[in-house]
Amino acid sequence: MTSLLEFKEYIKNFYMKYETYLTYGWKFVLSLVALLAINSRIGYQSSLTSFPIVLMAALLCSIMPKNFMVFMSALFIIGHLYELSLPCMLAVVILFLIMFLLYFRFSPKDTLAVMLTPLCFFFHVPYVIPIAMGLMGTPVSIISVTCGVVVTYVIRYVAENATAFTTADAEETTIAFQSVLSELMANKAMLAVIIAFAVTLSVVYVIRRLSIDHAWSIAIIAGALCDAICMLVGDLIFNTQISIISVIIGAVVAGLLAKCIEFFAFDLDYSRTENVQFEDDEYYYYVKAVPKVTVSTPEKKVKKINRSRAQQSHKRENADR
Amino acid sequence: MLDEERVILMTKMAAYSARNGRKNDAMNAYFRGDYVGFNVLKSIISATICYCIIVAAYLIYDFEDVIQNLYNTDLLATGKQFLLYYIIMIVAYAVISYIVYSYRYSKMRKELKGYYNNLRKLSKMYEKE
Repeated sequence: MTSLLEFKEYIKNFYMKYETYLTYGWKFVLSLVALLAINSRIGYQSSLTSFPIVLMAALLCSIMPKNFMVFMSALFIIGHLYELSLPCMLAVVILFLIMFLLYFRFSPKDTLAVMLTPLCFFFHVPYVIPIAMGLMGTPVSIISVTCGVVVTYVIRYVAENATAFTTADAEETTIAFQSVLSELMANKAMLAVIIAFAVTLSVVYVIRRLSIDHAWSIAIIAGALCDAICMLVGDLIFNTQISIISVIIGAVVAGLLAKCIEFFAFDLDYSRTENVQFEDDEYYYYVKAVPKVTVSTPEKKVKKINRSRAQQSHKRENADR
Repeated sequence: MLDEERVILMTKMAAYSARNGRKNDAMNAYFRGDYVGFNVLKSIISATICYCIIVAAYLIYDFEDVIQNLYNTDLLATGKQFLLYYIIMIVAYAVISYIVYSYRYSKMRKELKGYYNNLRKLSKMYEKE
């Protein structure tokens, strides 16, 4: 445990020193991974799959605000679907537009979840998303996660039925459009996942906010359990044919990953580090303000074994009074 | 000599204005009612666009049925139904955005008040010198 804490301290110092560059770095890596994942799943537009283009897009994402990553990923998805089939693209554009117009106008902070959810599905660790969002977000994040799940399933559907879409001729365009939308509305597995994620997220959020010891750890365990149970119940109700073992393994992995998130996010809060400049009549100030890390140490309990002495001291105290 | 307390106070204020200052100033340019009303209006417009998109998607989706039953359906009743859905959607969305933007405005006022208090404290510190 000590070596872990030392490691954390080391990371902390490292982050403090190179905060600006690291922010660019993680944005670059995340957008690169996301774009490569999109390309490998639905890479139909050959010009978008060339590595220099992806690299340039990722570089652009690294210097732009966070939400630009989501925008870029959406553009890539639409570009690929344009090559595959027009009705397909139309359906997805409609989906994105509705998401943007109705929800993301309100809460631009949460937008990243829409990109991270499909990414976690891609790497086969989807259950970590509701736990992570419950730990770090608010119950409103349910909507972002739901949007992410919907995007995931639509992309999956399109990728699985790509040949059907490419062979469709002019007459079948409406059929292609219909099939995507029907998939959106009638996919029971998707519904089960959405409900499971919403329940998990709320459970994790509620437990995390409780003022009890180890609230975060309990929240993570409860979240993983809740994830697994909800998925299995959903399987029973909707008959979605989810493999039980994969759900259980997924939940365990999600719990472990969430533990890692807790390790770094819980008391390493660098989102509030400020670099500010100002001046008064005498000086220019260039100040870097780093928020203090307050680690709550467990209270020490002293148990007195030598009872007689304890009683004596107690008597003495009484006598003093 | 550097006055540490003053530096801390100034840092806090500079951090605030770097983070939220510009956004809050833009918000504060409006009265509460104007700000909330304007944003609710924007929400209604975007909800209307959304509704149009959904209706268009529905028409494409069900194109054959719609064309086949065009002469059999009671257009007025269908129109009324669509209008009803539209109104329900608009009202629900407007109420939600009213709540969200009112909350944001009052939060902004609170932050601004804190900022002005700090400003007053700072000017008192200078006066003392």
